[in-house]
Amino acid sequence: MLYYRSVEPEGEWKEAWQKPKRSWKTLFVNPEVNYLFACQSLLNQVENDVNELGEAEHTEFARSVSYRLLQNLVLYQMRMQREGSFKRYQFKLMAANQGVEQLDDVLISPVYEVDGPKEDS
Amino acid sequence: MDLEQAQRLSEILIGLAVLFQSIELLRIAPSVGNYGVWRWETLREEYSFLGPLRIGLDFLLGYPNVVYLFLSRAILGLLLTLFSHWIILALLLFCTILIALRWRGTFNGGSDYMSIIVLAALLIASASSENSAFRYGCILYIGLQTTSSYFVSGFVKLRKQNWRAGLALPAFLRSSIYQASPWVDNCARNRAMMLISSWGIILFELLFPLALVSPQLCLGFLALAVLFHFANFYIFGLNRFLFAWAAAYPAVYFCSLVLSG
Repeated sequence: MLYYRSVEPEGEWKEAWQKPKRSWKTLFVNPEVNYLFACQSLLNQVENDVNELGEAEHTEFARSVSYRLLQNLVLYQMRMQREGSFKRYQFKLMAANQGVEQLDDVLISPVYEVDGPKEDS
Repeated sequence: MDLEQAQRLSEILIGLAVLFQSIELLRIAPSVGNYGVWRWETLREEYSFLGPLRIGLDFLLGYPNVVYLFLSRAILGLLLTLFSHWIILALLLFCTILIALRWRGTFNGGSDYMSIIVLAALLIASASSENSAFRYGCILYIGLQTTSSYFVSGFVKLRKQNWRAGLALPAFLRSSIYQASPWVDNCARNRAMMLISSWGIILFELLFPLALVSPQLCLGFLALAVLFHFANFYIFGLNRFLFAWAAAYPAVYFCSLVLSG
């Protein structure tokens, strides 16, 4: 699970996306869910990469394509959820222990500045 | 059903599958934009090994050209449902592979692989229309590949203790991408139902090769397969699997006709 929060102003951790409702109408075209599957694949990739790293390599990981895609995902979801008031933000990735409710922190990011709202034409 | 009918029906079904997939990609196009998640400026580093050839990918996969790629694939999918020609299949396969590169391998895992397998085999069959042995081989390949995909999946499940004990399925149900649903939760809590369902899935997949024994048995297994994929769509949101696998079913049925004499 991916979470983000505003650091300035200080905010609570929020889930990066809400789970959608089931619908028969999405049998032929199901963009929202397939987008979330792609996001989940990215989270799984990052979790695998982090678990394979030694301590010394964690700072190097922040320059990897996977990490930067993860950061793009957080910014994109913040925009989708209209978090326009954020000036600085932080995100974390948590993994569920199989069969156990509690989630463990896989990765907690440093604090980043938000560049401001952007959209492609 | 003869070879030509099986080939054409598979083409129509994969054309539809690709059309639906492409419409989905068009709907989420902002996520691959310059301020999206899968920005090309981020992804292109992974192709630095191509050297100067990466310019080609920059043109094809950069934004907004990648959106035109999605649109082209949708149009080609629609064309394939109307006309059969190896050029349409070749362009479709090319677009599909490019789009896979754009998503670092696949967008949706198994359904992308199945789409590529079906497209590639149909392309070879279509391009070698004068050589019936090649066409035969390609359609048989699709049928046997699909059959083995079910069998291998069942075999992998059979080897896992949590599947044999009926514990894997409730874990999957609870980890669905969808919001919690009372009836799904109730099913997941019903140990007997989960155990029976798990073994039902394992046996269906393991026994799928029996579909090749007779055409009547094949139709029965294919009907079960459609139900299986439909359930996966409703519970887990895996709509793409239904259409990607369905595109191979004419080839599976053709295999059963051939192997049963």
